[in-house]
Amino acid sequence: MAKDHFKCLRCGITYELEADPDGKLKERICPKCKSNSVRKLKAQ
Amino acid sequence: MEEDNIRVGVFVCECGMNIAGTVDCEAVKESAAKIPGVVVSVKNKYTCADPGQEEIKRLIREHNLNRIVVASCSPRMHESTFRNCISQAGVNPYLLEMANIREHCSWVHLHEKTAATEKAADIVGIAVAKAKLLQPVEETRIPVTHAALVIGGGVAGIQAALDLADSGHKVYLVEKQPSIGGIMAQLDKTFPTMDCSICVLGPKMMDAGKHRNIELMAYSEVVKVNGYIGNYKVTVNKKARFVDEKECNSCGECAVVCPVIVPDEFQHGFASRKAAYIPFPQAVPASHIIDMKNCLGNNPVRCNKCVGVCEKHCIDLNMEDKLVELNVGVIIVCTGMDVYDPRALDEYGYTRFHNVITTMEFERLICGGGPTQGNLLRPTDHKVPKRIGFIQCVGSRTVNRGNPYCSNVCCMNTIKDSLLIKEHYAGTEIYVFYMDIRAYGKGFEDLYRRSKEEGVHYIRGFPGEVTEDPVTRNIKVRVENTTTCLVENYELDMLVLSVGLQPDSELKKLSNLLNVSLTSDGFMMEAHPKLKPVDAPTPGIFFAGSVEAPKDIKDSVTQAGAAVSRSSIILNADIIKGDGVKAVIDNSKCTSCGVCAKVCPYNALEVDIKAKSGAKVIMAACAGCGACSAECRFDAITIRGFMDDQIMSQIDSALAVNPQNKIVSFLCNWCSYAASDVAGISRMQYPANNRFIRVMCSARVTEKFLWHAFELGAPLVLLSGCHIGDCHYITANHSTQKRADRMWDAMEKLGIRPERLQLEWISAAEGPRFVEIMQELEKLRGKVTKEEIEHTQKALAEREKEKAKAA
Repeated sequence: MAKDHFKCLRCGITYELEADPDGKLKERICPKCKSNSVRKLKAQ
Repeated sequence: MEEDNIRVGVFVCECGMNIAGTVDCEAVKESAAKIPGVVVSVKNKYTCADPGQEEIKRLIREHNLNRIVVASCSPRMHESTFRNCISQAGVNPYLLEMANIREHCSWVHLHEKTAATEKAADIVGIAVAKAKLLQPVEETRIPVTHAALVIGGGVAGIQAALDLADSGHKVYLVEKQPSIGGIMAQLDKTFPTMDCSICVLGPKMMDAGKHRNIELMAYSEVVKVNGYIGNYKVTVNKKARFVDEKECNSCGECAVVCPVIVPDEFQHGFASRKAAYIPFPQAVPASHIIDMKNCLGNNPVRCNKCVGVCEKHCIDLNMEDKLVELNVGVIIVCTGMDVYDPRALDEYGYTRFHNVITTMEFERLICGGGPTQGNLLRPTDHKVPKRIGFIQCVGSRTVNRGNPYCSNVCCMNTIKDSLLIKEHYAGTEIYVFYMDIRAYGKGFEDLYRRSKEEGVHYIRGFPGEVTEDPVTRNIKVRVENTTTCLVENYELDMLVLSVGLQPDSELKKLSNLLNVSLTSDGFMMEAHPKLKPVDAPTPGIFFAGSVEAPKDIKDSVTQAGAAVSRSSIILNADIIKGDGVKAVIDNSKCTSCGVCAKVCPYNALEVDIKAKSGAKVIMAACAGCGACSAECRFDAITIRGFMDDQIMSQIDSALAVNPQNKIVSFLCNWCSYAASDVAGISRMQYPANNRFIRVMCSARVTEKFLWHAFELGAPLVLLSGCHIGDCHYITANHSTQKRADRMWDAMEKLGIRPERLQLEWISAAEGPRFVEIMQELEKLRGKVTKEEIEHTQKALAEREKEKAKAA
């Protein structure tokens, strides 16, 4: 399963989630600080 | 209009001490008077009161004012009041701008008087900046469809439908169950009058079923809602009941021959029914239904006994669901509530001990129409219980397990039940374990007193241990009585859990269809808790009953009347005026690229890409979110009341002085701005250096607004709107997320830390979260250095130069 990588722009943590196969937009919530300022990082 | 002709009047409200207690209103008034274009600046005790409004009208006449700024409370509270006021003085109502110096300032900076006064002056400056660029807007005129949809056929829905129908309006009453009646139909008696529940409700159910103006759609669900106030298009799925309800005369022959026996949900499983059944004797429509999940039907077994026995040929086992389209002007939501399921709180033994039951199960056991014909028998041995206990607040008033709120009706319901038991079985010992008894309504305290006089024991304390005697199946309760400070033991024949109420499990789905918000408790959110208690924030949608919060029958009926009254204002009009906030196309700039039509959640833009004839706005469909405007690369679309130059001027004003200390926040009207109001109303405190700019939707915030704030030296910018899935404009905030992603990428390329643009989804109920975010933003702002801001400004200036060169 492909993974998407995210960075929280409030607390700074990075994390990954399984990519949505349908590409449907979902609310991003930082697992640590619950901020929505979560940036999807480009694949390396 | 030339700027020289702009004549702004500023009215600073003290709101008694609500504003003046924190903000130096005199200083704010003086500060406003110095702003170019401001002709007059005055201070009032209460601007919204008659003398305040009269002064506005008088000064409009005396000074020829053509732009008005009222610095007072939230525009969500009094914008319409002041629009009406200036309109009466001959000024277009859209030439008003409100400066929210109460919810956004005095109430949230109670202990920082200097900072609050500075902020209030800034807020007024921001409002004046926008007001100077406001243009008159003509409201749209919308024809009204003279019909109403009532969703939910409990007592509130029935009352609303009957009242509307009696007023001469066509009503569609949609109920998801096979019969109307709701929870009230299952109750034995009602408090405080102790009258028979179904005897009161039954005739109303029949009236609703027979009324010539009511089209009853039982066993049906709303699946799609489009449109707007006065013109909603609703799709209802009329589920197949496999019996022609108009032809069925409820003879019951089908049930007699049906071989399938299943638990009867109306009797809470204490009795059984057939797969061909009528929900309860007084059901409306008075028609049988086939429970196809359990019916043997045609497949796998060819039963068909019911079909053969039905003389009127009402049964069709091949019947299919049917989608029905309705056109209505208003919608009243009365979907009620669910009863708390106590299985999660198993320390009371509900899943382990058969003689532990819920209040709803008790209602059926004591009801003459119940499985025991009103003989109160305990489940294990069918003997009359001699000692009965009630535990209050099961699933209510608990933060971690169950629901944090009081369910409103449980105390009185238990008092009523205790009297019912005493009425039928005078010698029964009754013990009520409670935290406190809430008997606040008319006649409630009398009932409570009667219960105590009848010998019901009220023990303050919740049981710490509930066990069962394996031989007698009696329930043993160990409780600390906080009145006597003793640990007491009780042996009971039956224990009743007084379970609370909670939002209907499908309310979230319905709220998404209707585009309305829910509170943090999950109930329907009102447009204003005091002044619009039955209006949803979406115009033309109202609610009544427990869909808004747990309430008893009387309050539900009262609220139904209120919702009908509010609905009738719309239904009695042929034409209503719609909001003037709409998209406007500048065809000289439009290239017919079609991007606007792609992002519009309402399909309100028509673009013929081949003909290149320019985009066209369907005014009745446009909701004014501004997603199209923000996405247009050619600046060809703007939004009346929220135009580009108006918002740019607000940013200019917000960052005119000490920009390095300010955070600019763009808040959507429906959620994050509403949350900021909640924070204010709740007097939650947060740092005073945030400057808010209200937009109807976060999708309106174009990239150039964000860049402009950084150009002017903003250390931090917040973009905030409704949660994904809850957007007031369906999916408009998806554009916001995509735009934030683009901004972060672009910022990084320019060497600007993406962290300086924050994105937060905040619902209207999340006042505490709003405050927490404000506090976190202040921490982030403190980390942005002067050098960093200067570097940003330089990088953006370079970028502009390059753009100019390329052009």
